[in-house]
Amino acid sequence: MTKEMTRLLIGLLCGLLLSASIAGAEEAGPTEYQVKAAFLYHFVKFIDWPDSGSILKVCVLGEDPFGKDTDAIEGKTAAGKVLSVARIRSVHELKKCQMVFIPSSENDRLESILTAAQGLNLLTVGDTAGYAWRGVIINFYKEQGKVRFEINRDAAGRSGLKISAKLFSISRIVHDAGKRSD
Amino acid sequence: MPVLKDSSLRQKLIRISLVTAGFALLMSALALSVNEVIIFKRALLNALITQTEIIGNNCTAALTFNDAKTAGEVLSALKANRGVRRASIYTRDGLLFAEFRADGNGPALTEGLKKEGYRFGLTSVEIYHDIVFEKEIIGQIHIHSDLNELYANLLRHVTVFLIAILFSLCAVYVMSARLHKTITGLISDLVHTMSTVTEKKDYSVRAAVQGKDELGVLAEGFNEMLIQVQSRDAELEAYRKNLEELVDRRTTQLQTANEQLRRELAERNKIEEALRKSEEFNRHILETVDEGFIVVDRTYRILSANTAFCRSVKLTEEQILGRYCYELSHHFSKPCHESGEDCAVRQTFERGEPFALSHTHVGKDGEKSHVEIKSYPIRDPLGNVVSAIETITDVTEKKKLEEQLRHAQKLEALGTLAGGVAHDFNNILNVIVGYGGMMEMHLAKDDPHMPYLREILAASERATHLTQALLIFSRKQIAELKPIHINELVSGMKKMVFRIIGEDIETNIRLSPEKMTIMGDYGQLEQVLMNFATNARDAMPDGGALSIDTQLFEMDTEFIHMHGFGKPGKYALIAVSDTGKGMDEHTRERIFEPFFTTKGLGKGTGLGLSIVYGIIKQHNGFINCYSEPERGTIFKIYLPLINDEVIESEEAKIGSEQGGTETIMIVDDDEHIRKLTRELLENHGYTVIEARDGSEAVHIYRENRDKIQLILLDVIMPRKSGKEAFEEIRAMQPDIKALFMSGYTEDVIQRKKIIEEKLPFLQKPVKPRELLANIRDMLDGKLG
Repeated sequence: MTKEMTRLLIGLLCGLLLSASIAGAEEAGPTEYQVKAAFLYHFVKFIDWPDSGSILKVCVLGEDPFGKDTDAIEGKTAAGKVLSVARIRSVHELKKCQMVFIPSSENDRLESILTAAQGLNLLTVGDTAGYAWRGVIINFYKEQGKVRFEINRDAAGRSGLKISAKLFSISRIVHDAGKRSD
Repeated sequence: MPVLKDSSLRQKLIRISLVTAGFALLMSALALSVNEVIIFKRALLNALITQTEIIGNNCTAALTFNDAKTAGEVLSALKANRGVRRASIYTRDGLLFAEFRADGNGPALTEGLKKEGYRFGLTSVEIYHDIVFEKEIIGQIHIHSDLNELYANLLRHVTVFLIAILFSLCAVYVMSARLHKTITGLISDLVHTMSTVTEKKDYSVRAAVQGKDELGVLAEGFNEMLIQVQSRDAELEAYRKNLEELVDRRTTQLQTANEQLRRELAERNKIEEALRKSEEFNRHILETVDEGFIVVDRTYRILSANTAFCRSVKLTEEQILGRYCYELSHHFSKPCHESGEDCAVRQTFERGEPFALSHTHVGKDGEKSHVEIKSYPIRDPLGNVVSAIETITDVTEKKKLEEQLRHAQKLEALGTLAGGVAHDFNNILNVIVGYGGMMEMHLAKDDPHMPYLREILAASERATHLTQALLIFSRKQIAELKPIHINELVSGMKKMVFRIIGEDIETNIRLSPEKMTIMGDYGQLEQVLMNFATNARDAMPDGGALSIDTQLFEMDTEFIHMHGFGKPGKYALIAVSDTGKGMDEHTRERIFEPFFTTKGLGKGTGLGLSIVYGIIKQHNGFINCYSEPERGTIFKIYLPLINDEVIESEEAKIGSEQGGTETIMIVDDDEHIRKLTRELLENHGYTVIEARDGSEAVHIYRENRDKIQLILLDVIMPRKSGKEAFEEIRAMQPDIKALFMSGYTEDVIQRKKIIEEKLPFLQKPVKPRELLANIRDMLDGKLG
């Protein structure tokens, strides 16, 4: 047996092991933020967007928890619009967004963000407990390991967006703080 | 329709109406039901599809956001629809997403994705609907619904229809029952009219005509027909009357002619019957008689033949008629007289008179038969002999029997002759032997005349044997019959027979398995067998075989008829056969004659077989001989069997020669015998009184009854026989002792009685010693 052949065999073996580890990673199912990214995409379909061009900009404000997970929805079409994901730092950039994800890092300045978003026909989405009754329209939470979401009907009404009743039917409805919850 | 065939018109109409209406209603109901079902089915399907679409639409969000719980809640809204048994939602990958079951929880069904649409089963309907959201199939909803509602609906409809049909049919029945009269009334009327016509033969009635419809036309036609029939009837009646008169006239004429004819016929029948009877009678006579009967014409052609003739020539009547008599009876090709034979028919034809002769016919198989022919002329009205009646009587059998009779008579005559001579000769010998014996007693043993006297006595002895043989042949010898077993007799003779025939001849004795007892004289029968043995030896000088067989033989009438001798019954048959020279017919006919011999001079007396014959006859038996020259001879002896199986063993009587002083009466008609006996008895000390015959004996006894102690009696004497005299004397003195003597007697009954009563008896000639011994024994009470 020559040295070249031994080397070739070792190479082949390594290649096989590598591919097996990749396959194992795929079978483990989507990560939490992959699911949330997909939800962001699906929300598009249940909302009657005002006619504002063919691009629908999904912005992530502040610290980005998604990373590459948003790549899956980048460029996809929903409700006749092509999705485009952008990361923003300043509330001033909210003007060019149709949907904004507010991570928990923005907890402290949430009220100022929400104020900035007023009148922008902007769908606000978060994944931090208490965000919904503080005024975020859709807020993710986890129930029995599954990603679910709640909708602040008051905030939705304020945003000027028409959210499909079907979306309400599968979500937990909340109201602004101080109001009676459904 | 077979069901309707025999029903009335009314029933037919009602049934037809009911069936028609019922059928129409049923078809309508069926059509309506089908339509109803189709409509309802469509409605059901539409409702289900709509529901499915709504639910599918409501589930889009749940499907999109993978919220199975909410989807399940949406599906459970189907609870309101009681038909839905099961509903399920599948993701676009074909995985079960959410499920609803009307009957609670069960195992999950994973049917997978199906083609969109619906599937109708017998009991359920299944709907498959793709859930489309944003122009994209995101899943599929399946709904399974039962068809209970559909069937309940159908049942309701059917019930309603059936009730409606029932009511309708009732209405139809009532209506048709009322309406039928418009048709059947008319027909009934017509039928009534018709039956009146048929039953009463009244053609004057008419059917009522109502309306111009088909029935009206029918009634009119019927009436028209009646009119025509009525007129035809009248016409026929007229013809009939006319014809009847004519027939009556003709019948009377015919009856007269018929009566006349019948009378003539009866007359004729009577005559024919008489003729037939007479013919039958004659024919019957001809057919019954044993004689052959034929009618021949002048050319000897047979015109008629009876059964006996047919039988004799062994041909049927058809085969006989038309053939020539000489052809059948003699197998000649030309008339008998041309062949040199005399012919009775020819004589009758020539002389015109009956003629008789006897000659020999030859049968088909060459067998000859002796016949007696008689012929009678048959004349035509002019007196010419045109044919002849010939009767043929077969006398072969008769001739044979005549021959046998002649032979028997010849032997009988010879027997009588020989017996007579022997009797007289016996008496002479008695004297010679008697005096010779006395002389022998008187002479000293060493007297020089003694040898001469011995010769004389020896010759007398031989002469005695000769006369005894003759007496046996003539059956005048008294035989002492006792029961004898034939097989014992034959086997007892075995040794003797071997000694006679010598070693060159093979002897076979075969005895029957049955024990056969006869009444016979042992000594005589021994003599018979010895004679046969002697003859067999002489017939086989160069050796051969002698067989003696005994067997049980049942003699029947057929045997007797065939052989010309015998009496029915059971016999012991002794067959003695040799393989010797045999003899011809001529010799065989004469063998039983005394002094007939084929042996050389001095070799035989010629009395052997005649003695045999006599012995067998005396035993009431039969003897028969078959012989063929150079082949051998068989003698067959038949001796009648008796039932008594006991052979009395009689002790040998040994007498003792002694004299005495008693008084003895001698009764004999022969003077010489009386003298001889007196001298003998007186020499031995007895006192003797003589009597010449039976009556004298009785007379003398009466006078000397105290003196006489024994009577010596001859059996046959003139005036009164010995037996009769003895009876009279015994009446006077029951214990009187008597000794009978006889040489010969023709009175068989007398002789038999003496033997039967076991009276003491001596055969003449009596030897002096024997006589003395018997007398002494009787006087001493040892005998009688």
